[in-house]
Amino acid sequence: MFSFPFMQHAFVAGTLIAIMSGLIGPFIVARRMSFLAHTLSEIGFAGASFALFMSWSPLVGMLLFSVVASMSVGELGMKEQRSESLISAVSAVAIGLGIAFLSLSNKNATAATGILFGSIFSINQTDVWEVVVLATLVILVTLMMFRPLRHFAFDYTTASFSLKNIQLIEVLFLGLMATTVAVSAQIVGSLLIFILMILPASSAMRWGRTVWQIIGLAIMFSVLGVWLALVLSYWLDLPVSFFIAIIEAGVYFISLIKRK
Amino acid sequence: MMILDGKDIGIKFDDRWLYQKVNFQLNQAHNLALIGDNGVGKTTLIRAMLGKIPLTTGEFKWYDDGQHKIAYVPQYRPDMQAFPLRIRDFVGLTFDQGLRPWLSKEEKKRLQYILAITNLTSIADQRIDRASGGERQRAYLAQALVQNPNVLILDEATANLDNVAKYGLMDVVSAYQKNYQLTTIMVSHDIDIMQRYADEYLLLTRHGSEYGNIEQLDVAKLREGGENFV
Repeated sequence: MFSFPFMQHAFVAGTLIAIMSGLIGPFIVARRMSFLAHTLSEIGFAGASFALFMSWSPLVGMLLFSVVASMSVGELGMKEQRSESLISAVSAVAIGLGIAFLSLSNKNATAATGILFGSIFSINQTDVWEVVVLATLVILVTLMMFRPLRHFAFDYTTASFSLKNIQLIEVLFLGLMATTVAVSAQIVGSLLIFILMILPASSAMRWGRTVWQIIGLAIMFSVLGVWLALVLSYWLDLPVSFFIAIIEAGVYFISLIKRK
Repeated sequence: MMILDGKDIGIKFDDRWLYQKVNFQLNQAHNLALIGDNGVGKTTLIRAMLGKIPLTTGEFKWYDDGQHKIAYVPQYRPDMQAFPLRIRDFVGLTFDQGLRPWLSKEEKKRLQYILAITNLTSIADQRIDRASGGERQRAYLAQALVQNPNVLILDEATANLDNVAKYGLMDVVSAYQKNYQLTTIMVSHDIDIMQRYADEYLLLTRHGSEYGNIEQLDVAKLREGGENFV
């Protein structure tokens, strides 16, 4: 199984993406931005279609669109009451744009499926390097901002008084989130972004009692889920995203049943 | 000793004055009660004091060479959501400066000490989302004190608490205040708490403001005028 380069690529990229999502996920869940993460992935879908239309790498398009969108959403003020309607409107526009660019680019349905549901087995050496660089960057920046980010995400009320540069932290956090969304979409696809960023973190919150425990568990859930899914997908010839979704949702349901 | 002089403070929102010509002083190790009806702009004044929003007129003059460190204790709301963090870790959230992802030895010692003086040591490993209202407020107070502030803001910190929890919280504040020269601003609607713990008061109304020693506060006027007072 590991003698195939595509399998090696999938394992390297998948593991890094799982670690990155597991690290950033708990902050997103704690700050209650899961919905925004999902919208960013839809914006990423528009970006990836745009990249196809322009004959760029889909990752470039996704990064461009989701990072720019996350910053402008931050500017619009997500604390406002209307933010949910605003996000719905933005996601409608994003999906519409995505379909338009796909149709303009004259690509077949495989391209669309790849963007929406992920295509981990078709990534090449260059893609792996892109993932390595971006994931390392996200992980390093997150660790460097760990203290302010932890306060920001887990207790915003007091953080807004205690952190002097909270706007900067918010913007940086949105940037980290957008990058993670764009990179994770490479393997789970933009429609299923929840399963690596949100589900392992939500499960971990049911078990962990310190921020580090929550992050450790989230990384463990997502890494093990990705590995198991890759192996199952290899043997059973069904999409990886399907297995990741089933595994992560399964872990989450088990965590829900656990008595609080 | 005066540490903050508020001179001729005025704040205007969309052409409407919240208040004008507010004058008050904040004295070191004293307790200033900030009083006024809901919506009069008490929290706005605090945010302005922290430099988060600009003043329309007047100025805050600090007499401590910019060395002040302000910490904040929010109001307890029974519906407040919390994550299942241990109380120890919840209190440690306010170690939020610097690059080191874990706590240093000195920080751990400080945390342990603050947990002890806020009477949280015995429950430090229990979950914050299962703590009672009084315990949660003491955890918020501990969060603030961990930062070693010289000005503490209690923003209706005793509201929604029963009497035992209320005085329990305020006694911790008083004891700390005596030992560390901590200055406190408390936003409160609770006349008994104010009379027991405050030194000065600043009353904000739509028509102006009143500043003086807490003994001079005309409680009868508050009872009839302010619909939101207990």
